[in-house]
Amino acid sequence: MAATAPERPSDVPSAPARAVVAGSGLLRGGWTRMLGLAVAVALLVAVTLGSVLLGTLPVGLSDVVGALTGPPDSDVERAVRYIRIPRTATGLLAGTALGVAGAVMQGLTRNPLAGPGVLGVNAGAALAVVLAMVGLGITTAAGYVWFAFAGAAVAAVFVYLLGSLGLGGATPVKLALAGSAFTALLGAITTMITLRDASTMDDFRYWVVGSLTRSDGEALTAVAPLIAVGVVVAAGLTRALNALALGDDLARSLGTRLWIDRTVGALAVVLLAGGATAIAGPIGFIGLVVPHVARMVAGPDYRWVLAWTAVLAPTLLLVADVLGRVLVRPEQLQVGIITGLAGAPFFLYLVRNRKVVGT
Amino acid sequence: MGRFKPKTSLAVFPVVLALLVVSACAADEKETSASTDVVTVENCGIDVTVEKPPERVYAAYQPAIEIAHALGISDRLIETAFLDSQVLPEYADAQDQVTYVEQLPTREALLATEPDFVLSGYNNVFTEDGAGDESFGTRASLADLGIQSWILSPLCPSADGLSDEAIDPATVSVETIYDDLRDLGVLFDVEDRAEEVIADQQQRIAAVEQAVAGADRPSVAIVLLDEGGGIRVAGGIDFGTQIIEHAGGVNAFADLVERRHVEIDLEELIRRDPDVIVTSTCCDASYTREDGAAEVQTILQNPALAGMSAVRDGAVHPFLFADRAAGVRIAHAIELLASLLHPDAVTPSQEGTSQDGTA
Amino acid sequence: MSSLVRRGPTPDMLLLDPRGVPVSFRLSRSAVLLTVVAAMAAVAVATASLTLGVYPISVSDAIGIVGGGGSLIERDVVLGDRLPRALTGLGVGAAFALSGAILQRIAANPLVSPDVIGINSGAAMGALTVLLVVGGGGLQLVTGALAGALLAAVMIVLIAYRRGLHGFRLVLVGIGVAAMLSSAISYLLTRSDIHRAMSAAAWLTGSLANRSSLHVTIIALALAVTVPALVVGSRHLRLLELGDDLTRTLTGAGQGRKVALLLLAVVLAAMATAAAGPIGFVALVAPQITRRLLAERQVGLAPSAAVGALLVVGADLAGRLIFAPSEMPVGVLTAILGAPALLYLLARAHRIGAAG
Repeated sequence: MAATAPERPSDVPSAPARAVVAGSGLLRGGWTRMLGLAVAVALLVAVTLGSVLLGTLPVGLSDVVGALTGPPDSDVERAVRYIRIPRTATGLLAGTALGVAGAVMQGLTRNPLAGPGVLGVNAGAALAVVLAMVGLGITTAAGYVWFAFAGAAVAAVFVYLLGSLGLGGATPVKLALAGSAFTALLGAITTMITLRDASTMDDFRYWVVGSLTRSDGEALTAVAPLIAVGVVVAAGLTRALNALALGDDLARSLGTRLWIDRTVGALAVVLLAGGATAIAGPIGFIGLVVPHVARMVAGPDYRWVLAWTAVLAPTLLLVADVLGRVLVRPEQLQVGIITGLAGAPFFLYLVRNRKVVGT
Repeated sequence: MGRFKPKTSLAVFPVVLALLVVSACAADEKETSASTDVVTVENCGIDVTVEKPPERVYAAYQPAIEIAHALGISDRLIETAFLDSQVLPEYADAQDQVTYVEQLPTREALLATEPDFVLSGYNNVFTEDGAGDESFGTRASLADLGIQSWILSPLCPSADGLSDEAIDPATVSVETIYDDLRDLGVLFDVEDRAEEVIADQQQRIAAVEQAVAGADRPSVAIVLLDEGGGIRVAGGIDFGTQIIEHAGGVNAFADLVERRHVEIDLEELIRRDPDVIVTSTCCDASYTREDGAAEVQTILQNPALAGMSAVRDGAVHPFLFADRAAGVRIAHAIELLASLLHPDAVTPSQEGTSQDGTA
Repeated sequence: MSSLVRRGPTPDMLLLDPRGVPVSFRLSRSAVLLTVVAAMAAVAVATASLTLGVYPISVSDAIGIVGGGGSLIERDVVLGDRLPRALTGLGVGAAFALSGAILQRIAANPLVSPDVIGINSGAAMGALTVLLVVGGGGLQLVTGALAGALLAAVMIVLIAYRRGLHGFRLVLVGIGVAAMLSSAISYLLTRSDIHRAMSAAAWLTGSLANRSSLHVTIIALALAVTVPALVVGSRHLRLLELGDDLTRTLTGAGQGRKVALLLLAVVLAAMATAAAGPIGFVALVAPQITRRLLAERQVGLAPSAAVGALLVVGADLAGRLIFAPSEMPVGVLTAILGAPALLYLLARAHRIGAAG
């Protein structure tokens, strides 16, 4: 007790260690979790269908079939093919990517409050997009997709390097601190640029709120493989993430090479968070909240956390998007607003009522 | 809460005394000349009083700058700031001879130009605590320093120092512009010129209305493409609605009255299928309608919109944000829009010439 | 050494023991030195800022103006604009730094500051609602900011308080509230027209433009009320560093005092945001810089405040001079100055683990 007390002032919680051993979660046992996952997948399919069918123009299943087979020949079929389907696909890709990225970040940094926003990834993407808008006059989504991706990647790498400087390497504390500092710095530079130019500000203030309507098929097919690779890499990391949760020393004694795991993890995060921000802009809360929900349902084993996150996150994102379309007709609310406003209370509920932190 | 009032008021006394003495002497001179001496006109609830026509005028925002040129007081402009697009061709030469800055100055920088009159197109430059850097301070605080100010009346705030969003749309019409012109004519001793400008605007607008009378009124959508991939339209309370009506059309989104620009779903635009679509180009002193061509192409090439009447007929046109402001551009804007809505009835007046030859 | 000030338990420490007052202070020489140096530098910069800027005012002009002379406009520029600006900057810098120092102790986490846990966002939300929805300004804006911050704080405490106010839960809840408010703010910005959105965006980064005696009064009041309370409560802050369990054992009333200290931190941040907008980074960086310049295990409130004041007035002056005739809001500059400083210190960290 006395030995651990001086360690408490750091922000590394001792909970995951105990939690892994205890195996808590709503669903216990492999079969229950598997069954639950199947239900979650079914829910995702339903929500995906809903996302394609619900909206201003009345869409029926025959319209969907017609849109997919042969050239669309009515307004409704066009809407399905060029608006609803890309929107839904963006939601699926971005949702999965953000959720998994958040789970990996939380595992790597052993910090429940880690997410793509915290570690500077969103800020890097935002700055890169602003630079593309201002410096190169690019104003279409297909144009700055690559800038967003590059910016996210550069920021993540930078934060990781900075967090690794000094004694101790990339400890969770230093990583999170570096991320926070970098985010604030990039945010200030972004503000500095947008404040000087009204038309850039006008463009940027809408981009900075995430939305599923900005990517077309071209952008999506370009980014999807990268996200897929990211998911695969993350899946391969689950064993290492479980080991990391026990603490650096214990993990080392179990044979994991910390720096390899952290680097590979960082790669996965860059691909995922960068890809998501590139196609949908910065969307908050998915990466932060969904892994906690997954943990709540299926326990702290990262194999289950990742699987559940990959299914729940896109579900949540698509539901938010549909709500944004349907709640304030004929107006619409961008999905970034909804996830922010709705995700937060849910997160707060989690924090209050579950042992998210081990105190 | 004044600005250290006690010391300031002590210093004011001798200055006021001096002013009274000077104006008493000047009054003798003025009695012999045609112009009146002390003139007071009310603007947005504040009395604007000048001893003689202001000689050092600061004009902020496009409507204010163009009204100054229209009234022929360009030689009294010490600086102009924040254009949304190029000034009308008839004022181009005058504008070239005046200092222009892209960004609004701080209060200090404004004072350094030693103005005696500040003419503004929008009310946010006179907010009390700055709301950021773009404020000159309240109109009362400027008056304390001997600087009179004017807000173009369609956008009066409910009190000095505020920056209201809630402008009652019923109060905004072409008549308020004419009232401003007359009042400014009195202040600057250019009443004849003001009447000429008013007559010109009235005549041109009447000519258009006559030409399109009895014709069908096409539905028009004013569309702003956001970087969010979202789309906004100008709603009922935007002044553009009135421009459309005078030009012989009807705003397809006139029923949306919550605020000036309303964010909608792309599908809503498809559903309402307006006959004509115009875009909105803003925020740089060099912009002309040509700069809107790219956005027009974006709309025309969007496969989701391929079935819309406006897209099929090629009835998608660039339009300037500045042409939707309540100022001396209205006749030009109405003529332009009418030529787009009723090409057989109204031909666009040649760029550079106007009906009465006022240059 | 007089009987008032005695040598402390270590060579570096002084003991301040005023007669007749039931408190004694342990001060370290380095802390006193840092406080004095930083405070003097802050005042020097603030004074210099009276003569610097777009409107030309020479030093002799400035002296004359203070003495009662100068033209109407010159007096307006120096006394009505630059002076309230400098005073507000000093006060706000100190207040943010103090708030950050307290919060970092309570949460035992170097990442924590009023911006991170949503206090500043709450104030910003309140202010922007007044600005963009109601269309108000001045006193209304200030009230909105205060109300927003206090509401956010109340919400955070209510949600986080569960068998005690534990640092980690506080931080998590704060992050959640901050993110939610951030979404709401982004939404408000998309609702207004471009001219207003730009003004609002500038306010959101924290700005000392167009300050008046109203703002100076607010921040002076905040400091006058909280500083004495802090002087008394600093002892408990030091104890908090040892961890929750230990604190409870030693004082028995740990939680109540913790909430009281939290309240002080919130009031400081709320009033500072009301006076100058949510200037980011000062609350995070100033205590960290101070901590790294002093020996460990010190509360360092006074030096933090002085460093914070210096950071803000310095950043504001830079923002006015570098970008003349326009200006860059002070919040942008504090981030650009503060972040690299923090990163540099991070890289040179001498200890592993806690606080990096």
